Amino acid sequence: MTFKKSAILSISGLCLGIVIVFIFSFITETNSSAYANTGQLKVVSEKLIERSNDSNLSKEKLTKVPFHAKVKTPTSLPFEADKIFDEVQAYTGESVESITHYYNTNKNSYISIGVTDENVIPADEGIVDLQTKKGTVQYFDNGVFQFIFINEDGLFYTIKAQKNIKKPELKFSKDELISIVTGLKAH
Amino acid sequence: MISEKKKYLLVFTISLFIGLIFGTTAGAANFTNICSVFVGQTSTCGNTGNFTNSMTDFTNTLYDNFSGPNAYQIKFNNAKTIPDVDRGAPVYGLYKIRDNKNGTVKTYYGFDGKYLTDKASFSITTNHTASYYPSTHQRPNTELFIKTGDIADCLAEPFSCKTLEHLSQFSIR
Repeated sequence: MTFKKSAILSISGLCLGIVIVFIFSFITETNSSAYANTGQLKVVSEKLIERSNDSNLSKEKLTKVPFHAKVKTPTSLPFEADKIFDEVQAYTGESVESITHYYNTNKNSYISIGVTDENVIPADEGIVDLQTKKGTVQYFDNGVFQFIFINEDGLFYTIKAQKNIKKPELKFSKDELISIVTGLKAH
Repeated sequence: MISEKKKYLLVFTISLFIGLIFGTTAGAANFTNICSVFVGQTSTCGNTGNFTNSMTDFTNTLYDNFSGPNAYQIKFNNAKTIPDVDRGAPVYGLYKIRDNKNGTVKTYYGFDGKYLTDKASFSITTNHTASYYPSTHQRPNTELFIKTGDIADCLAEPFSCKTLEHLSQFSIR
């Protein structure tokens, strides 16, 4: 077996393999109405980390968020949270969102505050402006959750609230939600 | 003794195999689905994904209806989901249209908190035009998030509470 023949065969094999992959990709991309994927969905967040049980893990995870030092946290909520969970969602590219979930077991009340440095533009019909001491924020109710959207210091905050997770028809008042906004402070 | 012919065949086969692996790795983007459309045409991009863990077992298909008004833009008309849940109570999260060329993320909250089992299908009208550039990292993409359980499930089983993503990328042909 000569070296020259082996080299030619190796290069031909490599090139053919690459060409096959690119032809396959081209066909897949062209056939846009077909199901190109039926695999497992991509996991962007592995779990919720409970603060009381996993304080160090929670801190370690949150400090990896690039904008962590700028994140403001609530000084008041409409209920006393007896369970607090942290979550970090890692999206396409380098973007991340850090979310803290607050829950009251007796009242079944729930609020989460998500923060990202992406340029998020809420786009649903029915979003309205609310005036607060901190300026204008946006409010939306999708029938399940009440949302407040805030742009502050280059970060986008989403407050997501449900007064009683077993009774979605019960709502927090807008004043209760605005008090969360005005109570957001740097730590 | 392996004949000369078989040796050549072996070298070629190994090279072909390496070429296939290299091609797949080199072309692999971090997207679950890639769809394209000709200028002036409308198409539907179907992205089916499934997930199984202790909380849930389901399949969901996201259909993005989109068109190519010109060579530099992609218009997203609407998004529709078809869920199929075998076990558990997974819930939808946000739907995003990421305009990578302009660095903006149009975010739709209409799906958020809705159980996949609530309806046979969910749909939202988006009517959003994103910029298009052939470079992979500047093409627009859509993302639909699904949580493996509702708030009560996630608080009871925080370790199994995962956020999952349907991800599609779009291009003009």
